[in-house]
Amino acid sequence: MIQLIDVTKTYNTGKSEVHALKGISLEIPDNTFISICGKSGSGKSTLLNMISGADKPTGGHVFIDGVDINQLSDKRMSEMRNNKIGFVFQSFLLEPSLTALENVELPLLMRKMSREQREKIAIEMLDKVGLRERLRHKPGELSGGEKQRVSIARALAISPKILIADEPTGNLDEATGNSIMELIREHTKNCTFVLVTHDTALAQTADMKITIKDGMISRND
Amino acid sequence: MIKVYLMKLGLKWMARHKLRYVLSWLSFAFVSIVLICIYSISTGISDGVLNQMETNPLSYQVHMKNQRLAEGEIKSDLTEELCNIISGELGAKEFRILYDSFLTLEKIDGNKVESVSAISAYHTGHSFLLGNEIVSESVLYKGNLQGGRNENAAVVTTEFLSAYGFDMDSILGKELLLKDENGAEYSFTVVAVLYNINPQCWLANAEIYVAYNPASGNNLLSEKIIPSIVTFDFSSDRDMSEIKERVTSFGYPYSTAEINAEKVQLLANKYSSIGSFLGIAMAIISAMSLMNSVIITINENAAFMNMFRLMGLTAANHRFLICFITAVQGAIGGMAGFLFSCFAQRQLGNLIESFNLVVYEEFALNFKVDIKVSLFVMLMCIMVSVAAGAVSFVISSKESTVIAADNELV
Repeated sequence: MIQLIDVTKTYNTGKSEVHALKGISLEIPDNTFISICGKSGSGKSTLLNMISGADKPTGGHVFIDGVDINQLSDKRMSEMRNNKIGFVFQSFLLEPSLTALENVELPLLMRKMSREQREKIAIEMLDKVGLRERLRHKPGELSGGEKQRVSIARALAISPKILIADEPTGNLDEATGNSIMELIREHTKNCTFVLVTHDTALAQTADMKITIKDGMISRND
Repeated sequence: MIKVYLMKLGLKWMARHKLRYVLSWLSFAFVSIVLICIYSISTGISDGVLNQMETNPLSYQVHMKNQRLAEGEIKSDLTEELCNIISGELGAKEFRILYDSFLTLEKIDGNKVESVSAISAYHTGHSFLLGNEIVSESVLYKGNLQGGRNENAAVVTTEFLSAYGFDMDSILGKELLLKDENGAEYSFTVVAVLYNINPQCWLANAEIYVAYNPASGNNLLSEKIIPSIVTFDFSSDRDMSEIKERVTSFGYPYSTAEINAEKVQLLANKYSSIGSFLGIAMAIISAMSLMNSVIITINENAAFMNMFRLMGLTAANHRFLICFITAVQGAIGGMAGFLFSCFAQRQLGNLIESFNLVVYEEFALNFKVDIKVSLFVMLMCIMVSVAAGAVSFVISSKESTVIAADNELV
């Protein structure tokens, strides 16, 4: 379970302070599909940072499976992310100098797996997302939809307990976006799926729906 | 395993941005060249000095142990007997005296020559020096000759040749006959011709002379005479303050040699200090240039690196990646500097020679890139680069937080 208690986040940009989150409290049960909506600058991505442990809150606590992640050292936090959380982003964030296979292998590398093991899992994942024939292609040689499939395969390679997706269909056309969402949903039945989106129709399909406005939860269904 | 992977990734990034990094390693190469050359020259001079001390303990060009103590002006009571006593008291290995006595040149190769009365002579324990009396300007200048009293060998100047109607070939082997005030005769054989001894008083203050033997075409003599009356040579380290005090107690002022190993080494140290200052300044500039390149690389790859962090990369490994990239730049620069220095070492030797630092010429000609110095400089370049990488990492970490505030990054 993911639990946020009175989480605040303030960025000091030098000239002024930006209060990105203003006391967010939230409980996300295991294996839940939760959507987070909100306008640009509302604090969605910052909330995502808090849930994933990518950033530490200024105030409050974030618990994942009962562990206060703010108390973890950088090494333990990195291990936890590597073991439990998968990420999919709008801009794919693939390393251009690596092939699709090598990109998917990246999170497994941190687990100190052998090359053979990594390759086996990565090929299996790329096969699942329909890119069996594109293993040796670099991101520059793939379409937008294919890049996102690679990024999904990379996120799923670690068999995550939590999958976090930030606007995963934002850079894709509608048809490709739909197929990507179907793909993600198909593989996240047994994990918590946190989706940040502008698409209200897509958000409505979630088990839990949250709307963020000015750093606060304005609606929680 | 992850570190090996990150190193490969770092190399890929460098290959992708190779033009950007060429300037960085070139600047480190430049730093290396300057430092390697400065330190190698200094080391070369110091080694040369030590070598002189070991192989030529009587060398008064450069020798710390053979410290010279000299009387300020000629004193008539400074007899050879007295010098023997002082030398014994001081524990000097040997001493040399320039007497204020007179000889005249009587004959050359058995033939009587004119103007002999115009020549005044000074002789030392082991050598003999003849020259015009330049105190009186009315006396015709006839050139100089120098001879060893023990060896009965003489060296004459080119002016001497022309004054007595000889050329370089015909003077060699000629017998010179001189007489002192008591009528005693001294015979010498001319063995070489000297350049640049003009006039004799200048000779007495000169530092180096080049002897030329027209028959062999080789330099025969590299000689220097300091304006001293008695020179004491010591073949081992001594407490010079004690010796100076002792000399003073004999009632004679003293001075140290104008050029000795101590001064050469002092000069070498100054070169090193100037070189170090320049090197440090250049290294800082290079580090800033490298930081600039690395920060651009970090920011360009910030999104991916953040993703990598989210996938479980620790901050320590992230920092390792950045520092590895900068360390490689420093290492490439250091290695390039070493290779360039090796390639240019002969030219550098010639360049140093052209500075006309006569005393240091023989060391300059032997200048070669010192391997230990090069390794040290390379290590320094790597350390500076790694520091630049660590600073870049910290700066970029701060920047990425600000960017995150604008929701541009995860």
